[in-house]
Amino acid sequence: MNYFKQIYYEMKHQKMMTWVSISGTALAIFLVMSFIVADQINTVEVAPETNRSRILLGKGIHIKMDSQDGSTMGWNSDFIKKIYEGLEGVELISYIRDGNSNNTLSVPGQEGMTFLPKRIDANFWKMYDFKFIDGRPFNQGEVDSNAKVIVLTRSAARKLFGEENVTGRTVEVNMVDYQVVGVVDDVHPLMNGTFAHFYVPFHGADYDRNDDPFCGGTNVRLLLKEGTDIASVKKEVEQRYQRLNGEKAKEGIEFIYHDQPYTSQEEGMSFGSNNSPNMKTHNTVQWVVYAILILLPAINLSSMTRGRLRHRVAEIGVRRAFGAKRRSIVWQLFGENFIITIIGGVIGLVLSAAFIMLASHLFFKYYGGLEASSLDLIYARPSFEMMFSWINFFICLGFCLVLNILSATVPAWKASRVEPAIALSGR
Amino acid sequence: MAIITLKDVNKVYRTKEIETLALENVNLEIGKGEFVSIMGPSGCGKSTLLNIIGLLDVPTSGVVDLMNEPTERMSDSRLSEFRNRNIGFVFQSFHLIPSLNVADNVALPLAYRNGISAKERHEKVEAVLTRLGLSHRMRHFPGQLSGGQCQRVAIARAIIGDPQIVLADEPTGNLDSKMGQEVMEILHQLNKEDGRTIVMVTHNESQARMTDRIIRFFDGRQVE
Ligand SMILES: Nc1ncnc2c1ncn2[C@@H]1O[C@H](COP(=O)(O)OP(=O)(O)OP(=O)(O)O)[C@@H](O)[C@H]1O
Ligand SMILES: [Mg+2]
Repeated sequence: MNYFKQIYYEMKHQKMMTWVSISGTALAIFLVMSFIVADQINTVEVAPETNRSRILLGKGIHIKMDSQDGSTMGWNSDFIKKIYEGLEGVELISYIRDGNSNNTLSVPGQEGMTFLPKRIDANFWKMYDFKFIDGRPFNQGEVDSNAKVIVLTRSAARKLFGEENVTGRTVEVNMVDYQVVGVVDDVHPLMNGTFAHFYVPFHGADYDRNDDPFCGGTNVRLLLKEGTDIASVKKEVEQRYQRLNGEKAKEGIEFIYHDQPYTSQEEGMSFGSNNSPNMKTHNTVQWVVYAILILLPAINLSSMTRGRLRHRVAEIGVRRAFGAKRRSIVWQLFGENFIITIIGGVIGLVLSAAFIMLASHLFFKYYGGLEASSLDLIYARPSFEMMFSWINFFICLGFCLVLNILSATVPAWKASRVEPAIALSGR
Repeated sequence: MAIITLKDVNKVYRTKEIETLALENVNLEIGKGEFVSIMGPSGCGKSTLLNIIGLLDVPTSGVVDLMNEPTERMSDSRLSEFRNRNIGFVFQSFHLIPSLNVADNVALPLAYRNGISAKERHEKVEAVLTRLGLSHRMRHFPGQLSGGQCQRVAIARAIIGDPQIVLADEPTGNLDSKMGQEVMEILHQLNKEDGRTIVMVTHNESQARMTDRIIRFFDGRQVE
C-alpha cells in the first residue's frame, strides 16, 4: 500500500526526527507500562493462584489494650474463628500460618539445607491450584492429628534427594522425621499467597500463647463464592469487630479493624500492620502518575511532529492542489503519526517487560527470607505469563492512541488549514 | 465559449507593514481549448492570477467562473473536488513528493477520487507514463531523475485525472533549453491532441509566441 510505503520512506528521509519520535514514544510507554505491570503482578492470576480475585487474606490483628498499641501477625486459633467462620458468601476457609522463618531440612547422610516452609490446612490445597507431580496433598485428618507429613516442591525434592518422585521417603525437618506424601510444581516467589519450598500441616494451637486469648500464630484465607461482593464480606467482618469492641470496652480492649481481610492487590501494597491500605488513594496516585508520564512526552512529541511536518508543507500544498480535502490531510497525518507511535509503543512495551524481568527486585516485595535461599535465584523473576496479558497490550495500545491524539491533533489540524497557494509558494 | 472567466478580480495581500495590490481589476476570458501565455516582470502577479484560476487562492473581490460554474460559494471540500476533477497543475519547481516513487506521484490525483480500483489506477499510470516516455522509471524516486524527467512526471500527474484545464507556472523555468523545448512540445500535444485548455506563465518570448494568445501584466494590471 502506498500509504505504508510512504511512511517508510518518510521515516528514512527524516531519520533523526523519526528516531527521536519513536524513542520518545518508547520511553513514555516504557515508563507507564512498567508502572502498570508492576502493579498488576499483585493481582495476576497464574497457577497456583488462579482464584486470586476471589481470595481474601486475613493477615493480622491490631489491639489496643488500656490504650497501649499492640499488633501481631496472627490470631489465637480459637479466637480467629469468631471473626471469620460462617461469613456470608464464603465458599471455603483455610487456616494457615503466614509468618514463617527458614527451616533446616535434611536427609540421612547429608548436611542440612535451608528452606522456606508454609504451614497449612487441607482446605488450602482446595483453595489453590497446585500441580502435583507426585503423590497427594495431606488431608484434614492428618492436619488435625498433627501428623508428620510433608509436601515438597519440585526443586526442594531435587535438592534433597536428587530426584522428584520421592513420595514415601523420609526427610528431617528441624530434627523431626516427616514422611513425604507428595511433590508439587515450584511456585513462583511473586505468588506470595502460596510461595514456599515445602508444605506441612498447620496446627494452630501450637502457636497460641498461654496468657493471650486473642493473639497467636494463625492466619486465614477466604475463598469467596463466585460473584460475592468483597465489600459486603469486609462489612460483615467489621460488624463482628464492632460487636466485640462493644463487649470488651469495659475491659479496656479495642480491636482495630483496618479493612481486613485484604485482596491480593491490597496485600501487595506496602503498608504497616497498624495501617489500612487505601486503594482509592493508591489508584488516584497511579492515574496521576500515568497522566504525567503520558502528558510530558506528548508535549515534546507534538513539537517533533510539527518539525516533521514543516519539511512537508509543500507536499501538503500539492496534495491539496490535486484534490485532497482538509479532512484527508488530517487523517493521513494522524495515521502516519499513529504508526510511528505504535512502533514506539511496542518497543516501549517490550522494554518494560525486559526491565521488570531484570530489575524485579526493585519493584516487588518478595516473600521474606527469599534472599537467604539460594534455591530461587533462577526464578526470582516474573514469568512471561505473569508479565504479559492481552489486557496490558490493549492498555498499551490505548496509551499510544492517547499519545497520538495529544501529539498529532494540533500539528495535523494546523497543517490542513494552510492555504494551498501559500503552502506551495513556500512563504 | 469561455471555460475560464474572471470579472473585476482584485487581490490584496495584507501583511503587518504593507498592503500589496497583487491583482487590480482583472477581467479575463479564456476559451475552451485555448493555449494562453501570461507574461510580465517579476512580482507583477502572474502566479497570483494562476492560483486564483486554479482555486488555490481566493480573490479579495471579483468573480471566478470555471466551466460556467461560479466558484465563489464553493465550500473548501467542494473546491477540492473541483480541482481534483477539472484542473491539473504544473509547477516551476516540479513539487513532486520526494518520499513517493514516480508511479505513486503520478497516481496522486486518483487517490482523492472515489471508485477507482487499484487495477484501473495502475493501468492509467502506466498509460500516461508510456505516453510521456517514462514507463521505465515507474519505480524510481524523484531524487533519481533529471529535471526534465521530473517535469514530465509532474505533467503526467497533472493529466492523469483527465482535467480540462492545465495550469503551468513557469514549467520550463528550472530546465535547460533542450529539456524546456521537450516540455513545451508535450504541452502543445496536450493542447492539440487532447483539446485541453492550457494557461502557462512564462518569461520566454519565443515560447509565448508559439501559443494562441499572450496576456501581459504589469504591476497587477493586465496591459495587453
Ligand atoms: N502570500 C503573499 N503574501 C504577501 N504578499 C504576496 C503573497 N503572494 C504574493 N505576494 C506579493 O504579490 C505580488 C505578486 O506576486 P506573484 O507571486 O504573483 O508574482 P509573479 O508575477 O508570479 O512573480 P515571479 O515572476 O517572480 O514569479 C508580489 O509583490 C508578491 O510579493
Ligand atoms: Mg510567479
